[in-house]
Amino acid sequence: MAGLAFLALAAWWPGWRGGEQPLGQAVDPAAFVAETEAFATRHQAGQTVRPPPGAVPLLARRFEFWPPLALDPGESYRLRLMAQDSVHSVAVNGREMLLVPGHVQDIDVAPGDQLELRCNEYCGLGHNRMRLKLY
Amino acid sequence: MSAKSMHVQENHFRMLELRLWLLLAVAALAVAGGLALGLALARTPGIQDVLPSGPAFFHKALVTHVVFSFQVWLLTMLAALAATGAAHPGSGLLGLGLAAIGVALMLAVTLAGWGEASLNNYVPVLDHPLYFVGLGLVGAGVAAALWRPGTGLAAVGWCYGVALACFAVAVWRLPAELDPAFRLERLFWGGGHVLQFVNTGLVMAAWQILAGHRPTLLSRLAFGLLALGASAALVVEIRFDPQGLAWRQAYTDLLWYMLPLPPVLLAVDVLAGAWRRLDWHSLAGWALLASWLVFALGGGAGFALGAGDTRTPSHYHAMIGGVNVALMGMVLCVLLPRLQRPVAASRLPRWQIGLYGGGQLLHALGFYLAGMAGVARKTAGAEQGLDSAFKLVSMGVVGLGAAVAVLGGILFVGQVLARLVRHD
Repeated sequence: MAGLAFLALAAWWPGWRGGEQPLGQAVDPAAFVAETEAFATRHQAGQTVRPPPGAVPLLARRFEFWPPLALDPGESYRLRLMAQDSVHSVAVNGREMLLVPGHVQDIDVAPGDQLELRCNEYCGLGHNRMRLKLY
Repeated sequence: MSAKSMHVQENHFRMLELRLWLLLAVAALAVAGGLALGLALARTPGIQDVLPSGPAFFHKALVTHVVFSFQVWLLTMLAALAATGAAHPGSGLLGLGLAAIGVALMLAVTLAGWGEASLNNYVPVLDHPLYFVGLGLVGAGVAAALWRPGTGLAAVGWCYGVALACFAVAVWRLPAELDPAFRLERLFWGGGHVLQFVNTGLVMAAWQILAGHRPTLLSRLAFGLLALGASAALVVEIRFDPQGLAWRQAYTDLLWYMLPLPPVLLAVDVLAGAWRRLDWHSLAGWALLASWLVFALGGGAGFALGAGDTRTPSHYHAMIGGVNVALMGMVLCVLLPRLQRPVAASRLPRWQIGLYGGGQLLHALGFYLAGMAGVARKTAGAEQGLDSAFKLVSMGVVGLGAAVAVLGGILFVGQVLARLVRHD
């Protein structure tokens, strides 16, 4: 009886219907870090980076999303995130994605979005500080 | 030795075991309270520099404060409950010895300032071999007390076994070379979730005892569903990679879908059985109602959490508060009288439970409101970003509730320790 109940549970429970999500596009980590640093230098505006609409490379590392951004709320962007040092994660619009070194995850930002990036995978004592307001 | 004298002797050891488990549980709470004082000292200029590991003592004290006031307190109370009816007191006393050594080891590591603090979810740790040995000894000691005939806690014992199995599987599946923060988070994530089935089973048993409720078909179904829900963790382990996102989210789903029904069924059953019989003005009735109120509000909050804000601590402080109110009531109304050491009939126990339960409710309410306004969890000082009156008032309510709850906790520890230690 208990065994049957267990099997029924395994078949029914929504928790194991979803499979593993992809980790994103595989990249050379060192090259992506260099690309992000060059991008940040190119679009530096005071304390933040003001990128043009389009792709924006971004690093997740203890305990920040780097570089700090100031997006234009009326424009569209594609944030391209890679973890630099360890595993982090980010949740946007109810969808969470794991960030690991060597893989890039994309987040599309549409005009009017009000997003804040927050790390959702415990990464050390400063984990709860790891946030980035995009505007 | 005659059968009668053997029975008397066994009962003597059973009562000794119960008293010692209670002593260990309440002592763990007392030490956790002392470490909370250490948290304040670790932020005090001048004093922080003479602490074993300087300002870093804050996080180390925080880890052991959480482990003692949450894991050790609840698990040793579970062992105490098991001791009330179990056969083989020798096994229980052996378990007690292991757990006491484990607790002493963890405290020694904390005070010596050894190991890096990791504030991972459910079971935060100091990353030092002796700390893990201490945790393991407490785990083994509670298992020795729980896994024996006659405890009346078979379903909870099963859930506990699943939790330990999840910890063991995680140790085996997570490579040692992973980043320490990530590895420790994942190491305790699965088993930590299953331990919430154990804690829920503990509070369900406490409700039954407070109400003088005999097992019924419905209560057996409730405990059966609890054990079944915990067993679902085994499927998660088989299906998913412990380094992946699906594995982590499956455990969140496990609590969402499998944990709420058993305590609701049990509460309905207890309420139906005790509605006319129980004196709701008695201390036991008061504790039962207070526990249900705090537990239900905390449970409801669990379905409306944010991401990384203080609504999460609001949820778990209320859940733990609801469990603790029931356990405090059980100690005062049932376990101390069984040891022939009842607290003097007075209004103090009633005040104590009211202060603790009410304080936890305020604490949780403040956290929930602050979380709605966007205050991040596990932050302090300027990091909290209290940039509006609403956030300031909400966090003020958090502090006020904490102070009231701590007062209730101190009263509980004081009166119970006095009754357990004093020779009558």
